[in-house]
Amino acid sequence: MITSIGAVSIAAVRGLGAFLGFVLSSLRGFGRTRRVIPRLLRSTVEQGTRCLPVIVIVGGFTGLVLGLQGYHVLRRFGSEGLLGTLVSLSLVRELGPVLTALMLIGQAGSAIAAEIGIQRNSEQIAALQSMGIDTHGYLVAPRLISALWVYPLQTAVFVAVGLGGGWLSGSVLLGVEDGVYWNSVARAVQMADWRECGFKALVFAVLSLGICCFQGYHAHLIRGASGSRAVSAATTRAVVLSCVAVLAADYVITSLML
Amino acid sequence: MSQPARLEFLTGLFVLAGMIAVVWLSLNTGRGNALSGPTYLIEARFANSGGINTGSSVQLAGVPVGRVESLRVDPKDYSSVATLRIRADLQLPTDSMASVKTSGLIGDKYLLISPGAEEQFLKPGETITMTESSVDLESLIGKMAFGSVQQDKAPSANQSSTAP
Amino acid sequence: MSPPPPLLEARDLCKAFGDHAVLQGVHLQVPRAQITCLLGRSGGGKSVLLKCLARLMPFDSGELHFDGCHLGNRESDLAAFRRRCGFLFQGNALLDSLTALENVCLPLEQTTALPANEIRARAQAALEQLELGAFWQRHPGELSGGMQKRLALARALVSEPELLLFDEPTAGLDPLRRNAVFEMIVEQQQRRGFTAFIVTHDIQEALTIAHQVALLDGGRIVYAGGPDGFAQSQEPALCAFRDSQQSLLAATQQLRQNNRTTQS
Repeated sequence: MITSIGAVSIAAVRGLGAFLGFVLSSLRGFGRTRRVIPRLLRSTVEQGTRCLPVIVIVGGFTGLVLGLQGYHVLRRFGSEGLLGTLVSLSLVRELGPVLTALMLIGQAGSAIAAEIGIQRNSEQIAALQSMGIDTHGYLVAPRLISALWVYPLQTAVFVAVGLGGGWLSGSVLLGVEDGVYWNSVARAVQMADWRECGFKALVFAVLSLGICCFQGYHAHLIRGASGSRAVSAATTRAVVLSCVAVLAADYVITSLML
Repeated sequence: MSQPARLEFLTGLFVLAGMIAVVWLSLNTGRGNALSGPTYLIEARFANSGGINTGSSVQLAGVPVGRVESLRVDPKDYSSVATLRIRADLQLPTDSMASVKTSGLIGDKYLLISPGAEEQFLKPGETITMTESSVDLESLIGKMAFGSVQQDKAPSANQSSTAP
Repeated sequence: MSPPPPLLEARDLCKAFGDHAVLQGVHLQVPRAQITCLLGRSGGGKSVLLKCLARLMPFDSGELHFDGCHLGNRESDLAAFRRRCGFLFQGNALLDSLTALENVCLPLEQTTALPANEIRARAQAALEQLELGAFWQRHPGELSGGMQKRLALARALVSEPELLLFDEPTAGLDPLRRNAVFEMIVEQQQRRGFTAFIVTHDIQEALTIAHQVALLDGGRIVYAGGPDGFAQSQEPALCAFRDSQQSLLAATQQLRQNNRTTQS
């Protein structure tokens, strides 16, 4: 019992160290690769354009339901005028960065983990290595680096669409005055809230993309599975671990910043 | 479209969407108590400015006209000194009064300026001396519960003027 | 007159997976500008040895010498080694998201500072040489097994390596294609003069094209020398291997073609 707890905690600490080393060597390896622009564009499209529809849809519905729920709660206190405050602060501080990260993990992160896992499985990674190409720098770094601008932009899109959704349900459907809604939005969100939002987006970007690439890259090390099983196990693990990491990091950042 | 051109187009599409969102958000939020145009600073001295923070709104007749720039304690008489940033096109008479108000029962605190009748106007850096401190809700409720509140005396109990 | 030093030399190479010792002190010399074939039974560690030689897999103990110099773990040494050494994977390991041309361009793009049009010209020339010129826009998935093999060879050759390691280049091919692949290797080797090291099951073909043959058995090299010596040697391990292989080859030529995929 005690030894197994010890083993698990040692493994966890080792995994953390391996993950950090993985991210750092990816960034270092980026400098050793050439023709980086096409690969950066490709991963921007992979995480950005491809995921834009789902971000818009989820953002819209999140805003709609926030407007609906918020309206009915606030009406009890006679302060429907604060609906914009409630919707905008929830979106900017919490839901925007977190849900964006979760959706990007679901759509882009899982795809990346599976793709790298298959490349590992079919020896494509070994082939890159044999050609003297820095595999971290070639496969992982462009994805990590483009996540640094994709996540904040996607979060902005999410928040903007969400505010629109809140307006749609709060003002158009439930009758809070337009001006009241937008004014309380404008007054509620301060620069500090945007800083928190952007900081979270950046941290989630590195965490989630890093974990997804890490799991795919090490698909061959998964115990008790090989071949396509290992790829699917790696993908599952990538999605679960990065979601947990994002939520845990969210708690830590929020408690430090409030 | 060729492969690279397609890639560039799709990337551009995403960046465009992101930029539109950022610009729209920056236009629609963060206005908070931000002031556009020229401003000047004056001070206000309170016995108790509880609830007011840096960034709190300063209003006149219900319209935001400035914000609290900073807050400090005067070490000589232990009063609280708030520096207010006021729109430059607004001249305040020297006998104006500043009071700490609450928007709604549980809302944010803000400073309400009630203009006086003097011909002279406050110059930048000068101090509003007529101030009304925040209403201490808890003690008010306490007094009400023990029945010691006198209807017409309640506001004056909390009123204090501190000479500079 | 002493012969020139071998291009690649393994000294006392050991590798174990858990309790299972695959390589138990391999001594091997790969002579310069010749074709060396490594034979051995399936699962006998041939591919492991090859990956250790290519530094794609860490080994437990032993030394590698490349071009007379000890090949340690220094990154600059390894990078130089990789520039001069190519590897052909059993499964070709082509990047399936890139086209044929992009696959061949990749090593030049990433490891040299050549201008883009020069890289393209060289890649196109390599494709032409292997009769893939018309297929440059295809993805690897859209090519037949033999064409994929040729594409992998084109990718390995385009950076003009001095040493080329082949991991079962004929696995999964029918006898006709098998001969074509060997022919192609011999032709390219004679044209470019690189050193080839081939892991294979095809004993007959190996004996035909190789300048030197090595046999891996029980984790050790039990024979290394000319093909004639291999055919005539009386060493027991060798005889057993030769006989079994030859009787199998003679009796089940047809069956074998079907079995090969499952065997490897």
